[in-house]
Amino acid sequence: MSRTACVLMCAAAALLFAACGGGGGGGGSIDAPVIPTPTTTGGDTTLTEQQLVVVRYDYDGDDNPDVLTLDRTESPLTIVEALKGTATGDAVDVTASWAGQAIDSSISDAINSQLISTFSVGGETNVYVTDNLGHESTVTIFE
Amino acid sequence: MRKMNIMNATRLTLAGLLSILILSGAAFAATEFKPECGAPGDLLVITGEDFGDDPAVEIDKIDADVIRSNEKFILCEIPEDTSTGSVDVSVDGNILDDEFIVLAEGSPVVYRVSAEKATPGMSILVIGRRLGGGEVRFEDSSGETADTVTPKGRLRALMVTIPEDLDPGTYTLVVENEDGLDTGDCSPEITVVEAGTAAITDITPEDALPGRRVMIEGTDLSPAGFCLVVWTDSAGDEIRTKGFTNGYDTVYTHVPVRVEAGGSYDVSVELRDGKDWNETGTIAYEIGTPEAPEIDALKPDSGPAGSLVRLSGEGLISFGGMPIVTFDDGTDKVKAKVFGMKPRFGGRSTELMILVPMTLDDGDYDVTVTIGDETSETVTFTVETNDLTVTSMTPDSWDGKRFPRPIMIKGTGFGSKFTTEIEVSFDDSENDVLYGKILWQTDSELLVAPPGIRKEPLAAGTYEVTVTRDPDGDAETADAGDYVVE
Repeated sequence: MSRTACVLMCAAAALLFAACGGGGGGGGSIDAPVIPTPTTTGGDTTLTEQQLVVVRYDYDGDDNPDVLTLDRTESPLTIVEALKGTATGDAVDVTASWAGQAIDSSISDAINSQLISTFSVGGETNVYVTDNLGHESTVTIFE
Repeated sequence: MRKMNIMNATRLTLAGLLSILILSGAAFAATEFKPECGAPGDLLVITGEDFGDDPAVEIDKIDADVIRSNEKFILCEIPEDTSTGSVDVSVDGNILDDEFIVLAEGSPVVYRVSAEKATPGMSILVIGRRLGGGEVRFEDSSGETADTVTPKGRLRALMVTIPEDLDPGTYTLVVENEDGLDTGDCSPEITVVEAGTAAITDITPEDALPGRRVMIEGTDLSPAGFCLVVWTDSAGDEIRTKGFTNGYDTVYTHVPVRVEAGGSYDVSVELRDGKDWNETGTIAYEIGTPEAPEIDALKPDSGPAGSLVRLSGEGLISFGGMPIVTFDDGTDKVKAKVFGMKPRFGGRSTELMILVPMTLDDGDYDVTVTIGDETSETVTFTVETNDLTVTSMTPDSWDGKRFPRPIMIKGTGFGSKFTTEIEVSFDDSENDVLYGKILWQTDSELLVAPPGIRKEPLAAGTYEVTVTRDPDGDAETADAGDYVVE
């Protein structure tokens, strides 16, 4: 099975698991992912921004780094916006097809571990992670 | 170089001099804050030394909400009513030297750009807040717009392509979002240069060991993204490592694990060119001699099997062959899963994120890190079930106006997310008990999304927050205090 297929299957499995109820303590149904729409009224944009973190790593296994904006109020972190890297160093907006997918839980744990232990705003940190399939990745976290 | 840096560098006011005098006699020293710009509701980090337990921060003489702090850092929020323009930031009444630039609420703010120099046609990554939905202008030194592009992305990350016909020179990159607000005085600069021949000039740090991270500096290392680094020994044998280039002057890679320690290699970079590769010239590099990894601390140093633990020290990183972390009770050695490594370029300081093996019984274990043939000294981790306690809950209130911030509960005995069920309840004594969503769980930290964070935030009132361990079994509880919704 190709690595890309593994990634997509695991993402689908993660979504399925989430739908069955994860997290500590039930509070009702699991909400569908909501993509925040930037606005300026009442400071909603600011508040939505604080729940987002940007990371860059090869999400789909094609050797081109992708830029993902992730929702920090989900566990594992969930894609809100995605720019898929190309071989020419550019990117394609694939938000429509990737939004709502949960990233690999080991990568999510590594990102959360860094965010929780850091006092950084606007900084950049590289973390080297082994995902659940045993693949090593360099994940750049933009705090 | 940003426009506001030029202003700040040339501004040394009487107030600034007075601040230095005041700070020199104060119990702490606040040295800087980052970022240098923001809008109301954005976060700010103040760096210094000897901050007290409860520092008071004012921005533009308005109390700023301190989210968390320790002796070296304060993370706070820019108050709602802060005026726009240059404002003072103070800690416990002492004003910092630099001034902070406040933009109008909802304005885009750029935190970083992936390259300070770029060639026409190259794509650069812009990271910040409230960036997208609009356009990016390239303004020349006279303030005239030389060109405008529509970037990809609309939230916190933009991919901006330098126009093919943009003349070489330094431009101010003005990001305008869909609400018509722009980065103004906080716009970054970018220098457009002509495409040249790719070349590499230096590798840092010197004498890196097999498996360690290195940076290769050069020019015209495009396109950005994946590349290959070729290590050639004196016999002409080649080893290739994967690298990542920022598209202009830096390639991030690692020394191959299989090179000879102390050996000499010629290093070159292969850059993508469609389906072909362009190779740079070579530079010589000497591989370092191995030293044993050193463990400084385990955090936490006790907890149940399955705990997430941060292991810090020096020389712990090995890429292309993970470091081996073992737990030894004197009879058996069990390997721990290493799921993350965090290095620092130019130094040996490193951190590993590990999972305490789930099969371990309670007791003391000697923990070591082995990289290649080198093994560290031991540190002790105690596998045990800690008493359930709560020492703090932050924040303990929500003003009901903005999106509720996730709550950090600290204490002991929360266990591992893999083995311990935890429930965090919110009870106002009148309605049904509600439950928060666990976003992060270690034995000493819980990050909890308040109930209904997405659709139905909590109604105004006072909620007793309780942490329950093993709710379907022993159901031990600990009070976290009151959470007040205004």
